[in-house]
This record gives sequence, C-alpha cells and structure tokens, in this order.
Amino acid sequence: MGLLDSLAADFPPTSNPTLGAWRDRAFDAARERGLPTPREEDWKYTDLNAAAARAYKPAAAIAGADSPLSALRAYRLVFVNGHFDAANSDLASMPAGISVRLLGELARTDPERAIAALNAFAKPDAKFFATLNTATARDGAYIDIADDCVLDLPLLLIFSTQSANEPRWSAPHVRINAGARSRVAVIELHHGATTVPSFVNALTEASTASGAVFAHYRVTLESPAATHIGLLRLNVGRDSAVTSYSLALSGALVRIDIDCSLTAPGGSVALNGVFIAGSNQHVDHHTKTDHRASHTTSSETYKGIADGNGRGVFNGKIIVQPGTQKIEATQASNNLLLSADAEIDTKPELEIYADDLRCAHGATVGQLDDETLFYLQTRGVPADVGRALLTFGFVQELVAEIPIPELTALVAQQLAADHPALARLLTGDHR
Amino acid sequence: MAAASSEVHELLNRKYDAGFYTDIEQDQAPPGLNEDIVRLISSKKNEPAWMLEWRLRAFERWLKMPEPKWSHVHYPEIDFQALSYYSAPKSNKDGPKSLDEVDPKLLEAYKKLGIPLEEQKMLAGVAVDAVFDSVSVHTSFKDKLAAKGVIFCSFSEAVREHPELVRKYLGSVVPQADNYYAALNSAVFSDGSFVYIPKNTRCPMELSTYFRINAMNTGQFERTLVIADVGSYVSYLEGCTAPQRDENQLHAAVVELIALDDAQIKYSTVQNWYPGDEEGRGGIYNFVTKRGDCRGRNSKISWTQVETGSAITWKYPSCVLKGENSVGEFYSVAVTHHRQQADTGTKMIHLGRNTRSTIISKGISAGRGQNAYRGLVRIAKSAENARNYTQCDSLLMGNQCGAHTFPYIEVRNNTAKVEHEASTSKISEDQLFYLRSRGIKDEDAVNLVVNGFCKEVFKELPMEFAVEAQKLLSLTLEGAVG
Repeated sequence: MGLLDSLAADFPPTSNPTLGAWRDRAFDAARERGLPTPREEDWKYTDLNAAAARAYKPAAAIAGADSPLSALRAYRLVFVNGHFDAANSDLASMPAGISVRLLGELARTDPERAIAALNAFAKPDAKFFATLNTATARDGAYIDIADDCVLDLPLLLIFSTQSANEPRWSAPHVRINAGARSRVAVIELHHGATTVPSFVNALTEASTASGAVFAHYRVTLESPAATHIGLLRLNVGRDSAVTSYSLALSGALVRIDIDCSLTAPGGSVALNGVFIAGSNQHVDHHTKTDHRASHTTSSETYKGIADGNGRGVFNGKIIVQPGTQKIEATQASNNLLLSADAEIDTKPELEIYADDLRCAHGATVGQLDDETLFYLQTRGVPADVGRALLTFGFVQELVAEIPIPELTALVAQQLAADHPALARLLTGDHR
Repeated sequence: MAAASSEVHELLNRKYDAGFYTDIEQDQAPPGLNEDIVRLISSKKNEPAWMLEWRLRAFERWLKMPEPKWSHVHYPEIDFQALSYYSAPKSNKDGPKSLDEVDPKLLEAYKKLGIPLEEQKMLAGVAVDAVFDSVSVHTSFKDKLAAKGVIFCSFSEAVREHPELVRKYLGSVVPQADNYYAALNSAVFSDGSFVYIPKNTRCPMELSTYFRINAMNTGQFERTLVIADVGSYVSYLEGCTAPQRDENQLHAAVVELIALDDAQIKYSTVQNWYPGDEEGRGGIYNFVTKRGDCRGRNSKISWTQVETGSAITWKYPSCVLKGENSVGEFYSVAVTHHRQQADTGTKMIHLGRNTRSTIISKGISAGRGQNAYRGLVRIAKSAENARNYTQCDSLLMGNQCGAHTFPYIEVRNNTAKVEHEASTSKISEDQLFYLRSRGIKDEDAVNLVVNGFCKEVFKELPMEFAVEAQKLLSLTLEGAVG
C-alpha cells in the first residue's frame, strides 16, 4: 500500500463535518495531482518512490523527550509527532505582542478559522505537498506578532519525531504574521529520534508587514531513516527585511522548498543555506525568489557538502516579473564533493522580464584544494586535521553570520560526526 | 474466375503504384507526411535500399514520439501534415558542372543575398557547397580537396559514392530517436553536406555551406555529417539567409560531428533566417540538433555560433567528451529583437579522463525578444580531473524583453572542477552617455558597446565570418535603443 492509500485509510475522521469535508477535498486534490515523479522538472533529481512505497500511519501524541537546543534561551513551542506538547512549551508565558493559536484547538473550537488558516490548497499553484499538508495537518501554530513588537529572545518551534514501531506521518502547519516594524527571530527545528522511517511533511507560511525585520532559521536534523519534505513560503512586505537560513544537516531524504515573494517596494530578502549530504543521504533544496515589485533586492548563498554516497541538489530560481524595475539580485551555489561516490546537481536559474536591473549568479562544484592542504601539512598540520579545517571553513564563512551561537554549534557538531579530527579540534583535544 | 482475380490483382497493383510514386516529375511533394512521402524522397534521390530502411525506421519512431513542450518558447501548434517535405529547384537531370550551367535565376537570388559564388570562390580559398532548398546545385574546389583526399560533397552524393562511411557514422552521434525533431529529420532529411578528412590531413581551406529556404511551405531538413579522422583538422562554416515571407517555416536540421584521435573540428555558424516582422508574423522555426562526438584521445570540437535570425531558435550544439584529454568548446552570441524567441545553449557531457570544456554564451534581448540560455554540464563518474568553465552574460535593451538562464550542473566525480557564472544587466547608460559626449551617434554607440560585449565570441570566428557577424548584429539591433 502506498503513501496516499495508507494515509486515506488510517486518518481518523474529523469531528467537525465542515472541516472534514474540507480536508477530504484537499486529499482528493492531492490524489488527483498525483505524487511528483522525476519526470517533472521540479523533481528531476529527487525520486520519492522508495519513500512513498511505505505505508505511514498518523503519529500519535506522546510525552516529549530531549531535543537539541535544550539549553537555548528562547520562547518555546514544542510539537511531538505533529501534536502540541504543552508540558514542554511556554504557551502560557508568551511575551506581550505575541499571540499563538494552535491548529489542534482551533479545529475543535472554531473550525471556520481553522479552514481559513489551512487554505493552502485553495491556491491554484499549490504544490503537491502543500495540498497534502492541508489534508493531513492535525496540529500547528498560528503566530501573530503585533506591530512594533521587538522580541528579546528567539521563538523556538521544535518539531520532534519520537520513536514509534511503525512508519509515522506528521504534517505540522505553521503560519506567522509579523506586524509592522516588528523584529523577531524564529527558529524551526525539525528533529528526529527514531530508527523507523518516518515521514514529515511540514509547511510554514510567513508574511511580514511594512518595516518588519524577520529572521527565520530552519534546522533539519532528522533521523537517518527519515523522509522530510519542508515547505517555506515567505511574503516580504514593504521596506521589510527578511533573512532565511536553511541548515539541512541530516535525514535520509530531505527536500526543502523555499518560495519567497517580494511584493512591495523596499523589500529585501537574504536566503542562505548549508546542507550536508553524507552517506545514504539525499538533500534537495529548491528556492524561488520572485521579484513582484520594483526596488526590491535579494541575495542568496547556498553551500553544500556531499560525502560518502550522498547526493546534494540545489535549484535556485530568481524571477523578475514584467514591469518591475530597479532590481538587484545575486545568487551563489558553492558545493564541495568530498568522495568519489558523492554527487552534486545544481541549477541556478534566472528568469528576467525587465531591463533596469542587475542580476548575477554563480555556481561552483569542486573539492578541497590540494595546495592548501599541502601548505597546512608543511606547517605541521596533519592531513586529516587539515581536511577537517578546510571543510569546516567552507561552511563556517556562511554559518558564522548567524547571531545565535547554538545554531552554529549544531552545524559544527554535525560535521564533527563525519570528521573525527574536527571533533578533536572542537573539544580542544587535538594535541 | 481467373479473369476476375487478375482484375483484382491489377487493381491492387494500381493502388499500390499511386501511393508509391506521387507524381515523380513534380518538384514539390504534396503537403503531408506518411510512409509514401518518405519513400518518395528516397526514390527521388536514387537512394540505396539501406538508406530507405533507415529513414523508415526513423519515421516509425517519430510517429510514436510526443512533441516536446519543455522549452521556454511559445508558438502555435505545428501541423506536420500541412507541410511539404520535399522540393527541388528546376534543373537538368545531370546537374550543372560549372557556374554557366547553374540556373541564372538561382545565381540572381544568391546575388541579392550578397553571396555571389564567383567572389566566394576567390575569397580566401573558400569552397562553397550551396544548398538551394533541398538539392545541392553547385560544388566548388572539389578537385583541390580531392588531391588531399578530403571528401566534401552533398549528402545525397555521399550516400551514393561513399556508402561505407555514411553507414558507419550516420546516426552514431545523434541517434534516430534522439528527440522528436531529430527523428523527423532522420525520416525526411532532404540534403546537406558530408565531410570526411583523412588521417593526418589538415584541410587546405575552410569549408563553407550556404543554406537557403526558397519555396513556400517547405520544411527544410538538412543533414550534415563531418568526420575528422585521426590527426586531422577541419574548419567548417555554415551560414544561412532566407528571404521575407509570411508563413512560418519549419527548419529541423541535424548536424553530427565526429573527431577521432588527435583530430580537431571547428564548426562556425552565422544564422540569420528570416525572423518575422516586428509583430512576430512569419519567420522561421529553427529547431536544430547539433552534436559533436570527441571519440578519440586528444580530440577537440569547437562550436561557434552567431544567432541573429529565426522567429524561434531552439538548439543546443553539444559535445560528448569520450576521448581522454578531449576538449569541447562553445562560443555563442544569440540576439532576439522584436518578438523573436531563442532557447539555446549547449551540453557538455564529460565521460573521459582529463576532459575540458569551455562555454561562453552572450545573449542580447531587445524589443520584446525572449532569450534563454539552457545548458548542461555533466561530469560522469568516469571523468577523472574534468574541468568546465561556463560564463553566460545577458544584455537587456528595452523594458519588455526577457533574458533567462537555466544551467544544469551535474557532477558525479569528486576530482572535477566546475564553475558557472552568469550576469544580466541593462546596456550601460554611462557608457552610452560617454560615447555620445565624444560625438558618436546613438546607433554607433550601441554597436560599439554590443560588439565589445560579444568580442570574446567574435574572436573565435574566422575572419570573413566575423565581419559578417558584426554587420548582422548592427542590422538586427537597428532601432533597439533610442
């Protein structure tokens, strides 16, 4: 039994008939659209067949357990197996200016509002996994940030998949509205602690009002057997500055789509990402920056490492719509191939329908520089330490700009797992 | 009973005949495409049976293929049954042996296009194999080439005279069912050029072919096959012009290049088919499959193209780098003005060790032109130490044009180094202002800037082509700025 059949068979009926009908319609739409295949341009390098051949069951709520970033000072919202975990969350003690509603609760108390919040599939260009998320999301958070709200600590959303004895499906849905002139950082951590092949189909939508400064950090730290499909939709308002980091550090099959629309003048966005595709990992990033208004700027840097038999995919598209002028857009995709069996596929795209602009992109695929390694050796740095240093340096350039040291540390830890020499360096044990 | 059966027999035969030879004296085949047309084309050219079989196989495959829709161009659906697939200029059956024997009307047409054969003959020793519509009417310098053992003739002649070479190499780079238009071409190709350079021979002159579409409603399907044997060198020039007309024309050529050990092929194209009028009416659909196979060690294939014409250009001259140390190059200038659309680029498939490739692509969009670069660089697992450098720049002139870049980079070997960079910007107001302040006219200023932008590609062109290319460019961009 495949993915869609198992989901259709096992999802418990929704108590409210209106909401239930709505979900059924979304499910039918997903079924009609069909699972994406590598014959589609967007899925050319990523084959879902193996992951979708399994039967998944909706994950049950269980008590929370440890997750990374436990020491980080933040306002926390924790979801375990797609269900809200009140005990580990700070829902009751959210600071002024932040209002959080939970999808699970809305579905019980106010189905109309739940439908309004879930309306992803109603959009004509909805992607398959946006529609499927709409159909299967059972919990999630709708966060409103008031005008002029400046948060002292980041908002931390943890989505954790805990051990279960059969393949589990979870589909969290998050929506964030950042008010005018607000300043907020949101961390979205997807974390898995199970050896069972789970499937996460996450959807996050964020939009910023005029003058808002919004940072979004998406960390994918799934278990080695997990399939993770993450969608992030960003809508950048007037004079608003948005930063997005995607740190895709583990998971068997990780696919992250980041769609960003610049809809009003003065908006700017920086899309950055680091991915590590180690052995038996496939990491695919698709980003789209859509300049829909004049006087908007975008910059993008993605750094990828493929090791073992891992495969990294990057597809970045910049679109400048007709009639929009004074655009600046840059994009870079830099990739490191560390082993003979690894593969990198990268495709930086420009689609430009205006003329008063400056757009550039670049892509590189290479390996560590032999001469630099040799130089380090002549200075007494052993080859393995040299390689670890250079590999770390490759991503550190980008990661160091993240103002939250705990996130930087996560990247370092992940790299250290593959490079024992780096682990020794980080613990000061390299002598 | 016996009489009745013979009558039936006769009837059957007659039907068969009618289907088989659709008026053999006619110079243009009736519109439509079916097996009979393929047989007609083959019989018109007195082709051997194996060639006909090859065509029919291709036709069979074509029937089963879907029309590709993935490119970034838009055009009304092509009705393949409304096109005529064969037309021949009126000429004596034996064909002319010198210029005097060529139809003066043909010569007149060439003169209008600015390519007088007589002058071409004198110009820098260029041998011209002119294709007027579908049949070669004139070949020059044959003797000089023959002395070196170089074979340069029309494709139909090659099929008759050098069947062993044609059979060995035809379809070995672009298989019959490679893509929709290659399959169509394989079934109905009209004529084209055939070049064979023997071992350790440097072709004594640049080989050149001029193609031209003349008759109404005739698709033209050239087939070019260039084989450079071990240690040889050849530079091949291809240029196209077409007179103004209203109806869209389909042009689906196939070019196959084969370079064996230590061989080099340089293939240059200046393409200025009729681009349609300012509103995009008319103009040629140019759907071409060009591919070079660096089969031998240390071989090199270099594509240089200047694309200023056609309503729609859709072509990706590619290199398959099989041989160790082989080199592929692609230099391109593509211009779209008014409502022209271009989706062009290259593929560099690295299979052998130490293979290198360079891609330099310059796109210029003006008016409502849409210009897309689509390229693939693939480093296979077997390609140790492969190297690629890609640069594609776009220049925008006018706020309704478009410039797009779709580069695919696939790397499966960790000793590879692949770099890609692309930029898109408007023609610099500062540069134009400076030139104006020096008293240079608007048009000349634009030409100067554009020529500078394209310099890297133009310097790869043979001399006389470079001059023609610059002229074409300024002609194409007339009135684009100001």
